[in-house]
Amino acid sequence: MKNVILSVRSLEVRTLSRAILGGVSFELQESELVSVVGPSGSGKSTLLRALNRLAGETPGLMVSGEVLYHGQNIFSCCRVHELRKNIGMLFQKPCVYPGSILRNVLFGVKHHQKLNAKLAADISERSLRKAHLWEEVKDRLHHPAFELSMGQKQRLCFARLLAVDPEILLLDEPTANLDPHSTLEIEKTLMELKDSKSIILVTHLLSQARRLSDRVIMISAASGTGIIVEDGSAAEFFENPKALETQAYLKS
Amino acid sequence: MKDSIRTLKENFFTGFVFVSGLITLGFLAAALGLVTFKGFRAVSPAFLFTAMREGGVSGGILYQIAGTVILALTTLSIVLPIAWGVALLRSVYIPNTALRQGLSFFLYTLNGIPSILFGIFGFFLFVKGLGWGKSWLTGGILLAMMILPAVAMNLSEGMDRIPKDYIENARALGLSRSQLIWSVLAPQSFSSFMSGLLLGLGRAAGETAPVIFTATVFAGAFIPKGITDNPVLSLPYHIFNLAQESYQPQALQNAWGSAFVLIAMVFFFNLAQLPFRLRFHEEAEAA
Repeated sequence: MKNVILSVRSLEVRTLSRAILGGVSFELQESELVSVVGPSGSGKSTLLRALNRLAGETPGLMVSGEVLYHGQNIFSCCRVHELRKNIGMLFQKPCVYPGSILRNVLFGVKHHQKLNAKLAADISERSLRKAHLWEEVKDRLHHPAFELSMGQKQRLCFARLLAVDPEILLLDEPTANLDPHSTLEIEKTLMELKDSKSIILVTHLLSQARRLSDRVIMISAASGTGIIVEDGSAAEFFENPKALETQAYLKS
Repeated sequence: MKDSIRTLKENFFTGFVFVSGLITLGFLAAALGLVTFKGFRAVSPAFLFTAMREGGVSGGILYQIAGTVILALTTLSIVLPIAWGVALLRSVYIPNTALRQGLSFFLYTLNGIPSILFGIFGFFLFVKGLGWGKSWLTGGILLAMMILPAVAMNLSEGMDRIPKDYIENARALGLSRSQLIWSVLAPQSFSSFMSGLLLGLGRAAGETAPVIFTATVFAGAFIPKGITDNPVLSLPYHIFNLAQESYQPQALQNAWGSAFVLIAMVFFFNLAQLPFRLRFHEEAEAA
């Protein structure tokens, strides 16, 4: 039995007029990859954003409930930037900063630890290798990151996140806008990371969820509020779904 | 019939737009052309690098240029940190939209205060109240107060234009608020800050009203050696005084020459901000 690293209890995210997510509860174990699937607008991205407290900083959104990280409630335990060092997030749309590829890789980590030239070079290479980008950029690390293709930019963002070395990765449709090659490279990265990181992956690609996941969570907003309707192992989820919403979603 | 009315309206509107543009450009070109035509003849190395004599009727404008530069640099040093503080307060530290709008309204109002009021305020507070007498520092403080709203709003609006993804990604990587400011907000809004600052300095360099009672004299001042009772000479005040003596051809000639130098300085500040503004547009497009 693996240790529970993140425990979400009765999490609710709401605006003044309606609840986006209601009473969401689930657990994430160490070295586990959980996919979150569900129709558009069901609150999957909002769930991820609540787990590293980005939702709470969004004007107009209110977050309640408990999210226990190693047994401590993230909403009261620690400073938010320290939490995000451990619970990192990759967004759907790649965002690179002005400057070189190298600057982008080190953008986050340089704020968390003192880097000398050797350590910076080591971290950059290691992160870019993990993100399957090293071979494509190793000769042009000082070139502007804007020159990269969309898929390369997303892998660069992944490398930037991995350089910070968070314990939990929150990935919000990281391959949604990518070409098949880049999607495959990111999936390879995820397969390799599964043994050392806990990952929550929001995806619209059921085939991707089937390939990568240990567990799958289905969120449905049939009632207007996103709730978990199915939470089970990947095999159970795809072979023997219990909820009617899941059955309908898998057929669609 | 309908088509011809529409064409007529279209032509009228196009004509109106072009005439408006031409009027504006015409005024600017006429003012610049006149000052250049009349002033350029008065400018020589001796005019630029010697002190005035006979109350400005002869000699040069060395100390007027020096005083204007001293006032501009003092203004710059004061406005630089405060504008950053105000802009960060508005864009980062005040989450409440109503409060932000309130601060913006306050800054726009401050920006609209006639410059003579800054002069009177400075006269009563610094010259009389604090007993500083006329001082270059008072002038710098008042000019900084005067341009602060424009510089701060330009900077703050520059921060607001930074792609939200930059900020969200930095947060998601665990950057604290101060790290976010130094790593994302400051570098990304630097161009708009510089353009606002240099435009503001251009305005400050040409202002007479705030410094006339507080920081400048017409004659008898050189490079200041202290703070209190240490006024400077300045180009705007010099032009103002020479214009009053314009019945003397040489005084008038020197007034035009001084005006030309002042316009050249303001033009330089405006020109200097262009690369920053262009860089900002390039970055916005690249993002």
